[in-house]
Amino acid sequence: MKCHGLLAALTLAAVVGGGGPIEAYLKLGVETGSGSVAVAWAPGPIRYFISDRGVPGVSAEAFRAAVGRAFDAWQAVPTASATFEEVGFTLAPPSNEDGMTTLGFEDRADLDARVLAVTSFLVEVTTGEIVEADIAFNAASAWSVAGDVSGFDVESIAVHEIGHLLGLGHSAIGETELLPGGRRHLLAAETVMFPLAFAPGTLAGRTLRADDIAGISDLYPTGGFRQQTGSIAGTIQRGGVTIVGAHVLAFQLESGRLVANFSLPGDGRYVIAGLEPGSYIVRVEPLDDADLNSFFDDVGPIDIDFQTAFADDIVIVTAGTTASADVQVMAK
Amino acid sequence: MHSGPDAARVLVGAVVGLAIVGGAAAAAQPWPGRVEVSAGAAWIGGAALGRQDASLTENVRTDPERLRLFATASDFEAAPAVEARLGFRVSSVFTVEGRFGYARPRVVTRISDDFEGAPATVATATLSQYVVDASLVAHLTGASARDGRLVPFVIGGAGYLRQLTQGATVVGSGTILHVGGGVKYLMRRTPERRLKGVGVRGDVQIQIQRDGFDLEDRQRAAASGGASVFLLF
Repeated sequence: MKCHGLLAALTLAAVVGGGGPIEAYLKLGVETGSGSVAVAWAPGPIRYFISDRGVPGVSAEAFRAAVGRAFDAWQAVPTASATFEEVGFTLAPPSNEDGMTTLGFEDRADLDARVLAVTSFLVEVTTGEIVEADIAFNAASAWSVAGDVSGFDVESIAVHEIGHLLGLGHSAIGETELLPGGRRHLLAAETVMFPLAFAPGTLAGRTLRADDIAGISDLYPTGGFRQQTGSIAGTIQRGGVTIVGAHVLAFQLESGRLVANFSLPGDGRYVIAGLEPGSYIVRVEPLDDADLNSFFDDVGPIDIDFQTAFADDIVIVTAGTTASADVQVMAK
Repeated sequence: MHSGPDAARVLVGAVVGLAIVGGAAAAAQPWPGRVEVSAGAAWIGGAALGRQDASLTENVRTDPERLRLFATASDFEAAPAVEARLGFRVSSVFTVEGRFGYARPRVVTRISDDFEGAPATVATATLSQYVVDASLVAHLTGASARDGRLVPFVIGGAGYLRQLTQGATVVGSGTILHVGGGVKYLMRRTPERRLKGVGVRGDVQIQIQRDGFDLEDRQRAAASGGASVFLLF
């Protein structure tokens, strides 16, 4: 998984939503003999090492502390069971397939200059179990741990990459503007998993949002999570044709929380899980605020030729159930 | 003009005052029978449920504000209802009564100001609403007219509210207080028969709802009115 300062792209072989009836978020996955399976860690603490290397402005020790806070953010989600354990420093760089999950700065000539960090995996392909995941922070980028404008915030980028390390793909709850030359600028986001990073000096990426919490809780649920939350599912259609790749957003009227997912290849359905019981507005928009391959490995079926639209009904979500919300959209 | 809880407080004061007046003139024209059964139709006024913006954290360095993705404003629309009451006259002035009410109010959310330019629209949900409550009715017999056949009254009480989706899933339950007044007109008086009288009744009330389906954690006041036919036994 690469994350660029202004642009991001998936490099993993597959990005799937899984095939189960309950799911949220875009998950990373692998193809197995019997279909695709979401990748995830086995139960138990995820043990990680820190590369003993600093860069200008960020010592190895400061990096270790910032990464530790980022892991803490994910571990603090009360409805998710993922836990972490820091082993200590290592002299090994992050990008080795050595059986150790390692995070650290690394010189990566193969990376685009705008790539801030990349997460790589070693996955057991028959089960989808992650056996190693490394996060390389591009040593050529400018970094900071103090929240100043001298560099990208290590903790924020670590929070994003750890989301990938756990098996989450990108979320599209964000708005961007197209700059001359085709680059995009992030205007706003309500997830740490948006493919474009917040600007240097901005600390908003340190805090998990409702979308992130729903995603990690769906992937590593604590007991009772699925019984205490509900889902919205349905299809997006234009002129009777099901649209794949539509970004579907659930907005809770009581709390203002936003959780989203996509209509996925296969049956074209979307499922937004991990929703608190309540009343929701469902909004559908084309996936046009970042590169399509930031979200999907195969962008061929992705359709962005439609106008933003809303479901006709207020969707009432109750615990342990799936509410239906199909949406009709019009061509642009 | 008063509205909401302020209006309710004013009306409560009026109810108490009128009840005292009614009590002072009690027993002038007692109606026949001790049991009153009524059924009729009502109209429950609408109420605002609140506003909420869908918003994102802006990508700015200091004091990030919110970028509004779209805006919503939600209301309970006014809705017709059917009601049935069973009352027991405990004195010439006071009646204790229970009510069962059913309505299908519609929740409407207006969606506007979409950042991507989606046209303004509405999303709706229709609920099934059941109310069971108990009231004390004070007949103002001292203010009766038409040979005692037309009697104004004041009423106040409390009850239980239950709201379900079209799929019969409970989405809210709570308490409901109501105060108001009205008139009863006894059209036919037959004290010697088992059915001792037939009349019509009109009510105007303020209903204060707590909990139940709500988008904000607060109580709401709504006006209601109704007309019914009653039988005295």
